[in-house]
Amino acid sequence: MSRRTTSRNFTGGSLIEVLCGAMFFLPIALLSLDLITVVLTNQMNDHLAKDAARAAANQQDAVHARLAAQKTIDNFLNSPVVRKVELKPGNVNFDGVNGQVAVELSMSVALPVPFPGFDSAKFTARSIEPIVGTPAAL
Amino acid sequence: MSEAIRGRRGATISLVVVCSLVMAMLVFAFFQFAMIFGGSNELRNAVDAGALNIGREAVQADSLKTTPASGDEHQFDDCLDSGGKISLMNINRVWGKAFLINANVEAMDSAGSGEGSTSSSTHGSTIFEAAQKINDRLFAILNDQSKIHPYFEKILKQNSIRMLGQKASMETLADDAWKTSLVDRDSESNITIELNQLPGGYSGLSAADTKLLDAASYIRGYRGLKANGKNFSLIPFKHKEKPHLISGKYFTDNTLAKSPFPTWTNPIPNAVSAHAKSTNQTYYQNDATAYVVANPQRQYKLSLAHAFIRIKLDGNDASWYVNGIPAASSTYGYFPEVQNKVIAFDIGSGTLTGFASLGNEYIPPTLGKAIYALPGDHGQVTTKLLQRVREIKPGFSEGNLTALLNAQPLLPGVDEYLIYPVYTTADNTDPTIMCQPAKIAAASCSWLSSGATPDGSEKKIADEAAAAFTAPNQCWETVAGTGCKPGPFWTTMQGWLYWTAGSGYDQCLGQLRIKRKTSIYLNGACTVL
Repeated sequence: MSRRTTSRNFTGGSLIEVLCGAMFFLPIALLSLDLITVVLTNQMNDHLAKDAARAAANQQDAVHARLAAQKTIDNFLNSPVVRKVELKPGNVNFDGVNGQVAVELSMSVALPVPFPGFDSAKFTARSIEPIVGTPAAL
Repeated sequence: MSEAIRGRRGATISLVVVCSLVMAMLVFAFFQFAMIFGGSNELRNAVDAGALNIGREAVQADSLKTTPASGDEHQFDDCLDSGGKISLMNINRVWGKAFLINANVEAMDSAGSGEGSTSSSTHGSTIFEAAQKINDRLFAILNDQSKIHPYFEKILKQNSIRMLGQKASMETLADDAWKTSLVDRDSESNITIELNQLPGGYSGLSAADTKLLDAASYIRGYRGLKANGKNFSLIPFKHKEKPHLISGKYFTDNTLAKSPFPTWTNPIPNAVSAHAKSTNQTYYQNDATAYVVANPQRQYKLSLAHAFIRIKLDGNDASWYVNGIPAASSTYGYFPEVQNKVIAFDIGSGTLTGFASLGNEYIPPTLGKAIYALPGDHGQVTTKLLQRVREIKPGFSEGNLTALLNAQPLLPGVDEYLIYPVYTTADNTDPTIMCQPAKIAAASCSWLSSGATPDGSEKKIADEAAAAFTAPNQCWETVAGTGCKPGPFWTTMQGWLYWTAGSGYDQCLGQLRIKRKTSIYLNGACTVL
């Protein structure tokens, strides 16, 4: 009888060990997925802000600058995790006096593995470019 | 056996724990690398933005400009920007003017021309040296990286590199990675030309030296042009391009070290490189270099903006002949008048009173009529005047010239008229050509040195003649005295037009001097009984 007990205790032991281990392993793996998403979408947002600022800087006035920035965002190929890219009014600051344009973008991202209280992230990126769309002063 | 079985318990869980730790470390490492690469990208973007600001400010920033010093450099006062300075934007105007003056000198000295003089030849060298001095100062400014750093840092430091650390920032790396380059060689400059602006006798610039874009011919840049034995070159600024980044290889291949430009002493560059590094970063230090080509996005027409042409009416002579013998002389003006002379006959006691209606060749009394008053070959007159006006305002047509001259009335007591430009823009572009008496022109244009004389040699370019009984001026006579009878009477007329070419140095591009003469032939005889 002791042999059968020992055999039953041994059978399934590994499974239990794996399950216990998985309790640590799985969250780390899932968190790393979220971390990768956060890092990549943050870089994506930075690039997009730079592109929008560059497009705005090639214009001659504030109205066209905003339109150019918005067009850059509209042409952005959305990733499935990106919920929204927002360019609020006033976030394209075309400063003709100082010769620069500042663009501020907000990107809302849905994390692929939502955790309680941590299911999305919002990034803000700001890029400043010199205005090259206007001719040199007379 | 039970011990062996017991030894294997827990092996999997420890393996899982180890793997979890390894995975966590890998994820952490990935995160760090992502932050480094992301931060590196941020630095590169910031350096690009800073370099673009150099491209923008190199053509207009006040500290990157120079002003004409005293003396002959003020010959280029008509090339200045609205602030009275010269920068990468308008240095091509300076060289364009120096080139055009030297093209004039070469034409004036050309074989068979006879228009040149020692003065004009000297002026060609003088204006070239003055342009070179301005050039050398601007060259020194644009190659002094310390002058450019502020414009780079202005945008650089407003961008962030937070992925390299919360306290990470950027600063300029002042080293020999800061260079200048001469890119887009042989591409169009920002100076347009119409080939009919160039003086006859000069052939150093042809259509091959220009590029046709949007119905305008642009002189090619970084391409040697020769005039009066001197080398000229303009800086290329591609049409409709903005300041933009270029590749490091293209930049480096066009530096003076790798690709010299021997015909231009201190050639002005149109591209700059910029170098910056990260500081106070969490991870290892990054640096980045960017290369930018400038472009003022302004075009100018090749011209001598402050210049004029003088038309001098040198008076009209009347020569009176009685029976073929010179009897009297007088002068007359530019409005119809009648003169009379009383001449005694040699034989007998009678007299002959001759009358002449003079000044009729100036009806209608306009400057155009004053120039083209009598029949003759005026081809050279029109050619010279038109070519010189086109050096002030390209595209000026013969019809424009005719209308201009015919619109200017002759005024009593005025014998000098100027053809000159009037500007409404601060940078002396797009003139309206006016024709006015010299005093009025001088009073209306503060820049005009109306007393300046052309530096060439005078040469006759047209002869006029009106034969007897066809001349607009007429004569008649009466005789008094016993046995005296009048004979036939007639007038002939002649005119001479002289051109003194000017190189454009000191503003005067040339002078047309007009002289006319009416010969009055009276006849009569007295019979002595």
